[in-house]
Amino acid sequence: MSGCILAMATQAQLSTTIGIESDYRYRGVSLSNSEPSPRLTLNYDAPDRWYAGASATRVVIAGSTSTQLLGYAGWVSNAVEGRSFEVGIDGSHFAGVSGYDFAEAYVGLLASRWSARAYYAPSYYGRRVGVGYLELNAHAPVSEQVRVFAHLGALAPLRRGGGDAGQARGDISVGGGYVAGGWDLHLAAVAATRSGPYPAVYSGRRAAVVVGASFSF
Amino acid sequence: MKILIALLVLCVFSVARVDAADGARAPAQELRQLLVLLKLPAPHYRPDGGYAGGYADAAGRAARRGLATALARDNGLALATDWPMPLLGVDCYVMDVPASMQASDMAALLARDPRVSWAQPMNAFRTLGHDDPLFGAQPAAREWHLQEMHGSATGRGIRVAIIDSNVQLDHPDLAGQVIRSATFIGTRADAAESHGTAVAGVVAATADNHVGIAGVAPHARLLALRACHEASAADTLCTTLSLALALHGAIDGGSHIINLSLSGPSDRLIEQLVRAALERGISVVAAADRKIANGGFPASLRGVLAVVDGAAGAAPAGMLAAPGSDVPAPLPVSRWGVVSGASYAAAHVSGLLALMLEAQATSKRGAAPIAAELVVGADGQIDSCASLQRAGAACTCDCAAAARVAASVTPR
Repeated sequence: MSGCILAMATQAQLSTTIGIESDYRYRGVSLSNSEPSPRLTLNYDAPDRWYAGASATRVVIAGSTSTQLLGYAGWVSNAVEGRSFEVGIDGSHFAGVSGYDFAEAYVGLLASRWSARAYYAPSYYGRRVGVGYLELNAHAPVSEQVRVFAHLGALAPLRRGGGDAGQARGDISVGGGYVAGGWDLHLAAVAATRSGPYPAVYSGRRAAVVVGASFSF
Repeated sequence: MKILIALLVLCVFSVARVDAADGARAPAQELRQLLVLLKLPAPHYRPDGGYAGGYADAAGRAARRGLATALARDNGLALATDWPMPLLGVDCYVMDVPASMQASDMAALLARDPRVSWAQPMNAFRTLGHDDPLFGAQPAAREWHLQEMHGSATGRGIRVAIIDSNVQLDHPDLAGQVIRSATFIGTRADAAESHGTAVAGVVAATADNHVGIAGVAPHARLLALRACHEASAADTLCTTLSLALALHGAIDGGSHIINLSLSGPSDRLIEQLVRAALERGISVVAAADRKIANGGFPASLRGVLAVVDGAAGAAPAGMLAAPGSDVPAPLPVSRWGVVSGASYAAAHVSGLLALMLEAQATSKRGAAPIAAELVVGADGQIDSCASLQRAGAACTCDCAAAARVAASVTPR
């Protein structure tokens, strides 16, 4: 593997990351049937603060093994007193089960050690129900290479009804990571409440310990 | 009086000299290293950010290191180390320059590469002072009415970053005063050093502990950030990188005041970090060199409080004068001595600002820039009592003079 920043434009940067998670937890629920899930991510940062990227992740959805192809693009402001904001869109396509495809728009407020984002999906997992997701993330360095992090999220349909799937769901995660030489090793405890607008009511384990590793170049 | 006598005895037997002599300082010099700054994209959404969302861009950093390695290889340099500086939006790469090349020439060459934000030589900085030690009691006690001022404020709740050489954390006058210490100069020996220990003591030595001196702001808390090392008894050296990392740490650590008792050549990286501090409302105090028209760098930066030793005469225009001669101060190892120089004048101003910030917070008079509340005479001498009163404290000292609040100097 070789270094991979391309001078496509002045100071534009392209990075590639390959990684694997013991369980692909997306907003508190497993999208990999609690099985390991590899992922490839490309990210492009333009010099004028636009960014875009794509990832491919192995998923198990509706009982079928599939690949989630996720594309995203956004813009992040210059930092003022250490804080910046971003706007962007992302969209997921599930190969072979495209009925679950969905797109989102998001806005975020970012600081050096925390971030907050709000997402809106007009048709979450293809269910034609508008869904909002709020997340708070924080991290702190323990040393130059070790960090701890925490995450809180709340997912809610913007229209009532639909039984448990029409209820809000919260998710939480705490963990730590080690970064060195392009490697990122991390471990997190993840948990979610019962209900929520995952395509159907989620019946898998609501708490898990997730181990992951990735390499960037 | 007992303390004074004890101090004098200690000085006679244990202290010879502290600080480099102004006249003996070597000219500003380049080290055989340069800094290459690569743009650090702002943190943003990533699908693989996962539950860690928002932590430093590890993926991009690995890629940028690859670029830095290629730049070094292609230009005959050796990549030494790297540091992210998210406050400035750059990753900083240190490259060793072979003896056959000039660091400034290589920096100019690399700066033309479109992938590079900027490149610059690694500069050397030196602390300011002179080795003409005289024995005496604290000048601030007389000239600044320190004891009376402490009736109004002691710096409680204020954090002062001392970016300097290694502070003796367990010195009897400093134990418990330092809430965070860090070293940014790599593998140097861990021994306590004179300059940093003395500057820290002038700012915040413990009061009423039956030993040594009272700091100007004895209840302020210190961040002892070691960016310099004592190359000899008369020479304390810092580099662009060590100062930059310490400044980054000071800003990140929530400092209210940053004390820079040092001077060197103009430096883009240091300038940007000082500006980042000022933009966040942090007061930056720097020792100024009288022999340089603008006081030297970083004292010359707009918004930085440039301070000279008031005993040497009126301050040059736009600068401040504070006690800086024959100042009793803590020294390693658990001694006290007399120090002189602009370094210690700057430390006095950092301490005074801590008192003023406490007074301002207590009086709830709002958040006017504290430097604008300094009351300064035509000769640059600070009227400490009037400054403290203007910041919000009740008049406790030199009230007649304080009532005649003179025109204040707005920092350049």
